[in-house]
Amino acid sequence: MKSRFGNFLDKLPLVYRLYGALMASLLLVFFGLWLYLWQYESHLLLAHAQKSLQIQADARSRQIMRYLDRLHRELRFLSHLEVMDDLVARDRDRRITRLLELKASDLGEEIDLLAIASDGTICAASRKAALHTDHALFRAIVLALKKGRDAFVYRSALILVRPLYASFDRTLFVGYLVLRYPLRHLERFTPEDRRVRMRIVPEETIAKLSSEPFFRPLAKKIRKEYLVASQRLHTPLEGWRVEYALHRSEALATLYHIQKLLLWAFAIALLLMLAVLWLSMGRILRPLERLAEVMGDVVRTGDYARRVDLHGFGEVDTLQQAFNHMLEETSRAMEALKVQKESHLEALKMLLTFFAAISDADSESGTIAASVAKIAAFAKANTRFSRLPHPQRLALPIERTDPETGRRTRIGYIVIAQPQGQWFSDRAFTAALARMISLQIDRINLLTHTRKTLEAKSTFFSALSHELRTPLGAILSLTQTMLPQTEEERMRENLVRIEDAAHRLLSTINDILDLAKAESGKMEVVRSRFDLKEAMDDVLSLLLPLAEEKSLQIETRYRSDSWIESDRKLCKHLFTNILDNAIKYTPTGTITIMIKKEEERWYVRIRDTGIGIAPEALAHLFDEFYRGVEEQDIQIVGSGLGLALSRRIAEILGGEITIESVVGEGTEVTITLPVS
Amino acid sequence: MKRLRMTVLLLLFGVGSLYAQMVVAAHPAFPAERLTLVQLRKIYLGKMRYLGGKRLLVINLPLDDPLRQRFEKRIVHHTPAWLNRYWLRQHYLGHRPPKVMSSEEGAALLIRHFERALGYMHEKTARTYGLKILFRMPAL
Repeated sequence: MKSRFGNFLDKLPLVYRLYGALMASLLLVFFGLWLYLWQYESHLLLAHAQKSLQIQADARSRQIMRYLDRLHRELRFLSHLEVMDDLVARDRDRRITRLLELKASDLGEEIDLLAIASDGTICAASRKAALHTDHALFRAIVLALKKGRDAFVYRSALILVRPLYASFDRTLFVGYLVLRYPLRHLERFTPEDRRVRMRIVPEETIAKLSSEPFFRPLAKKIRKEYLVASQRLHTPLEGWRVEYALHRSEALATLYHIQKLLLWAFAIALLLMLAVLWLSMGRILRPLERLAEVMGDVVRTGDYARRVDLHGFGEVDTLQQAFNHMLEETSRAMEALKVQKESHLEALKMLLTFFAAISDADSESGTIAASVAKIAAFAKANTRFSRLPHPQRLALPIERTDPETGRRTRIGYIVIAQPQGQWFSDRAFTAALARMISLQIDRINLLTHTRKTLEAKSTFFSALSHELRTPLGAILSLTQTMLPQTEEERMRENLVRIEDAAHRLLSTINDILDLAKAESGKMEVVRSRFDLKEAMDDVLSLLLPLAEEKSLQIETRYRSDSWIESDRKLCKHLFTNILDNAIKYTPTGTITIMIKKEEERWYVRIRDTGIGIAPEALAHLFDEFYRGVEEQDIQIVGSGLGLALSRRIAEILGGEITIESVVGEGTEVTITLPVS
Repeated sequence: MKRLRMTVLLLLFGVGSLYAQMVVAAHPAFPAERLTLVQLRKIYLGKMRYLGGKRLLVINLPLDDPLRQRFEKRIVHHTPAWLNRYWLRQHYLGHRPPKVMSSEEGAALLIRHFERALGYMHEKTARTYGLKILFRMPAL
C-alpha cells in the first residue's frame, strides 16, 4: 500500500525528487555529524580541556614556586653579603638601605626588604615607610624561626626570613633579613587567557584575603558549570593550592564554532542547491517541458513536421535530438504509409473500375476485350490476348469453368508488355486480376447456360402442355358427346368420372403452362382500368357453389369503389387461386374478404377459419408442387402449383403475396397490388 | 716648584692635624691598651690577625677617605696602588682585607658593638662613642 506521501512524491517532477533526495542525504550527514559532535566529541573535548587545564595549573604552580624560590634565593644571597655586617652599626652608613632599595626596585611588585636588628629594630628597609618597628612581625619572625620555618603568611603578605650573621664571624648573630611579599601580587600569575579563571586558595581562610575573589575558591553552586583543575603548592605556600577553572561553554567553544560552521555550511549548501535548482529549472526542466509540449502538440495535431528547438545540454540534448530523430522517422514512415495508402486506394479504385468494366460485358470475348483494354490503360503498356503465354512477359492465365461438369480449362493469357506501376509486380494482385476475369467469364457462361436451361424447360412445358391438351380436348369432347347418348347408369357414371379426371388434368396442365409462361417471361400483361370489387365478385360467383357445398359463410368488406389499373384476367386468376385454397382448406366457418387502399396500394385480404399452416410449412408454401396439407387431408385435390403460380402472377403485376397462419385457427392471405 | 708644592702640602697637613687628631680606637674591652706603629702596620696588612687569643676585626674606611689616605701613608707606608696589588695577592691566598665601613661613625658604631674590633678615626669621634684609644697619630 502506498502512503499519501509516496503518491505526493510520485507527482513531483523528477528534478525536485532528485534534489530532495540530495538534500535529505545532506541533512542526514549534517545531523549525523552534529549528533556525533554533540554526543561524543563534546566528551572528548571536555576531557581534553580538563587535561590541558590540569597541565596549565601544574605549570602555573611550578611557575609560582619558582618565583617564590627565586625570592628566597635572592634573600639568601643578600643575607650572605658582607655589607650586612653594617646592621651591627644600625646601618649608619645606609649601605644596607641602598642595597635593599636597589634590590627591591629590581624585584618590583611592592616587595619590601627589611633588615631587622637582633633587638627587633628595623634598621634598614627598601621603603622609608616600612621603617617603623613592627613588634608583632618581629615576634612572628622569632616564633617561625623557632619552629624552623623561614617563611610564613602574615597580614596577607608572604614573609621570607633569613637570620644574619657577621661575615667575619659566622657564629655572630646580627639580625634578620626579611622579605615581605604582598600575596595579592600573585594575581599577576593569572593566565593571559581570559577564558580561564585562576584562583589561589589559602590553606585556611584568611580573613583579609578571603574578601578578594582571587583567593576565594569557586562557589560550589557554580562549580558544576566549570571544569576545575587543582594543584597543590609547596613551601613557602605549603597547603595552598592553585585552582584553574574553565567554563564548560568555553571548553566547548571549538565545538560550538564547528557546529556553527556546519550550520553555515549547510545553509550555504542549501542556498546553493536552491540556486542550482532554480537554474536547472531553466536549463533542464524547461527543455523537458518544451519537449513534452511539442510531444503533446504532435499527438494532438498529428503534425510530424514539428521539431523541438535544441536548447538543452547533456542528456536533455540527447533526448531532444533523439525525439527530433524519432519525429523525422515517424514523419517519413507516415509519408510512406500515406503513399502506400494512396497506392492501395488507387489499386482498389482500379480494381473496382476494372470490375465494373468487365461486369458490363455479356460475353466471354467481350469480357476479355474489356479486360485487355482496361489493363492496357492501367499498366500503360501494350496488352493483348494470346492463346499461349509469353516466356518473358507478364501473362495472366484466363480460365473457364464448365457449368455442368465444373472442370476448368485454360482458354489463354492476357500478356502485358512491361507494365507500369508497382501493382503488376505483385503476384497476388495479378493472380486476383486473372481470377476476377475468369470468374466474370464463368458468371457469363453460367448465366447463359441457366437462361438456356430455363428456356428449354419452358419450351418443354409448353410443348408438353400443347401435346397433352390436344388429346385431352379430344377425350373431353368425346366424353361430353357420349354422355347424353349413354343410357346405362353405370356407363354414365364412368363417363362422368372420366370427364372429371380430364378436367382436373386440363386444369393442372393449364397451371403448368401458366407457370412456364410466367417463368420464361412470356406471360403477357394487358393493363386496363377496372374495379377490383367487381373482379372479386366475378370470382366469388364462380366459387360460391363450392362454399355452399361445405356450408361456408362468405363475408365481404369492400370499399364502395376500388379502381385499379392492372391486368383484370390475371387478377381474377390470382383471386381464384387464393379463394379456392381458402375454401379447400376450410372445413367449416367463415371466409372474410377485405379490400383496402393504403398509400397507393390495394390490399386484398382473404381470411379463413381453416386448418391453418404449420410454421415449418410456411417457408415452402411457394415452392412448386408443394402441398403443405398433404398428410392432413389427402382428400383435398390439387396440383401444388397454385401458390407458386399466384406469387409469379403477383410479381408480374408488381405486387406481392404474404401469408400469416396459425394451425387450427386459420390463415390470412394478403395480396398487395399497386394502384397503377 | 717642588719646594713650593711641599710647602703647601705641609701647611695643609699641619692645619688639618691641628684641627683633627687621628687615633686608632677599639672597643673598651679590647684585649690591649696600646698598639705600636709596627703592630698597627702588621694588623692593617693582615699579617697579625689575633690579639690576646681573639681574632681581630679590622675596620677600614673607603678608598677616597682622607683619613684612610693619611693612615695608609703614615702608618702602613704604602701607596693605594701597592696596597691594591697586595690585597689582590692576599685574596688568592685566602686572606681578606680589613672590613670597610663607609663612615667614621659607622666604623665607630661597629667597633662599639664588637670588643675585638679596631679602626682609625678622629679622636673626637672615638671620644663620642666612648672607644678606647690604642694609638695616637704622631703630629708632623
